[in-house]
Amino acid sequence: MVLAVDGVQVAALVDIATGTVVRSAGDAGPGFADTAACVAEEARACRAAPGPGSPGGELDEFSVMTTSRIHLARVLNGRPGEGLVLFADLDKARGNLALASLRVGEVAAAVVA
Amino acid sequence: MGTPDHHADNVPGPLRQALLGCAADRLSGVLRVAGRPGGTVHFSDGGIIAAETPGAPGLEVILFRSGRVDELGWDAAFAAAAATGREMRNELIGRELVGAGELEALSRLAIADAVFAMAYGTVEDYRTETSASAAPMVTLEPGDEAGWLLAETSRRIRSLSPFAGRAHARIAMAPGAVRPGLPVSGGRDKLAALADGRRTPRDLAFALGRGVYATLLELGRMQADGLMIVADPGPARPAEAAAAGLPPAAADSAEAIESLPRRRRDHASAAVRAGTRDLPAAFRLLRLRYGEGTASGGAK
Amino acid sequence: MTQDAVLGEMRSLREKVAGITGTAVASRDGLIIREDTGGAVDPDNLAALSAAWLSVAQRMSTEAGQGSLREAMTRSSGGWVAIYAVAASAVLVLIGDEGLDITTLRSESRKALDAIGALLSGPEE
Repeated sequence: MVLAVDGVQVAALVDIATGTVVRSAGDAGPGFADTAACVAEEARACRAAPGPGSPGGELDEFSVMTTSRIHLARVLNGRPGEGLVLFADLDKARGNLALASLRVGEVAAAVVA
Repeated sequence: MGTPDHHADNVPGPLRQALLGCAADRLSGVLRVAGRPGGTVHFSDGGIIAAETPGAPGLEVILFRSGRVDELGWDAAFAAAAATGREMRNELIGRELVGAGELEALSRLAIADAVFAMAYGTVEDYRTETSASAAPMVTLEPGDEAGWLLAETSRRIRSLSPFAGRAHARIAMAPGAVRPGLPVSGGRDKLAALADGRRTPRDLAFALGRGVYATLLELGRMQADGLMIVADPGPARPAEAAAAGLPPAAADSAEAIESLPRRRRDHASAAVRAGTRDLPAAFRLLRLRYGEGTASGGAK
Repeated sequence: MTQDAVLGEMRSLREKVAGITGTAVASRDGLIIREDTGGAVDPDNLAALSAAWLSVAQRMSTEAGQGSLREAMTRSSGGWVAIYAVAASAVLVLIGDEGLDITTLRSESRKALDAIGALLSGPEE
């Protein structure tokens, strides 16, 4: 699935409203539930960032990069207050944001089908 | 999915023991939980395939109220499943009323919400039954692990600030909170319209077709923003005007990009958050992409 | 005041049973006595329908040779409505959402009906 993308260490489907990990793959580690909850919060904040009425369209995707990792989050079934995020944690050295974004985008629709 | 947390100290002991016991015994049957709200957990070979409680909307309510599935489609699927003996789940997917992955996600969330509602209330007693009682219409296959469910329930309880006490407190909008301009995110406008001092978070969840935990989370934020108060039990307040607006939260959006760590104020224990993401105090770049165009956030 | 005590019983039932969204007590000839519906439904229509429904339900019970009616209930996509005879003179109607705790309702309604019945057959309000 998403793990097939180069450099992806963990992938998960996270519910935006609750932060619950609905599905996960890869080596998630013990603190992952809390990470997922943070990702959900970030999704909510990013949705709200442009202001009321979502000028510029609905939130598609957001990413956070640190010195060693890329966190990519693709919004699925975007609807206010609901929806899922397909989250991927990549090793920056082995992964490439643009490529990962493309691949995750391709896989995204299939994940909920 | 991660390491199950068998401690889950904030989950009522009897419920914790019951769930783990049924899993260990590889129960196929039901666990009936007596309490407020109490409920029923369905097991198949020790896996949790469904859960119901008066305290949280079930999968059907969520599918209907959100408009995800319409009544005609549901009834047709139900009739077909009843006639052929096939699983309701497969009928819904086969008729393309809902995707398989989506249905699995929603089923898992509905189960988590039901168990959360039971754990967040009071648990008095429990018993198990192995006879095949009324099987729920849509089941999760394979069932959830009890360990995972307990860890998730514990996380949810931990994450709720002690805002309104409980899911059965009566909620109302704060005086002066109803003004035009509030952002639509999180369904706040709908919550505002329905929070009339009579409905509880559980009632609001049913009315909106959203999970009770998700509703409690949103209400907690609204209370922190000064928008929502807990009304005393008593004569109901008249509902606020239908065109319920909400105060501008411009400060909220402006801060959104700059202050990633601060947005974790909802969560009770910051210590748990620290170190769970490889996010030093300085993150490099937050890149947002919307339907059209891109916005780049501040770097530190 | 008798009516406030009746309202108190109705509210108490709503507190005890998860999922009750509104209640009303009406006379057998379809007039509202007390209502606690939060503005969600028209109490006069509710009263008229409840009285009529109770009458039909009781006749059905007799017709089917099943003794005296205990409860009549409708189940719809959006929730439940239940009616109960109160003493000889009134009807209690309950509206509930999809999560109505029917088990607890059945164990609590008896007490509420007896209490309301006693209040109504006391001094005229």
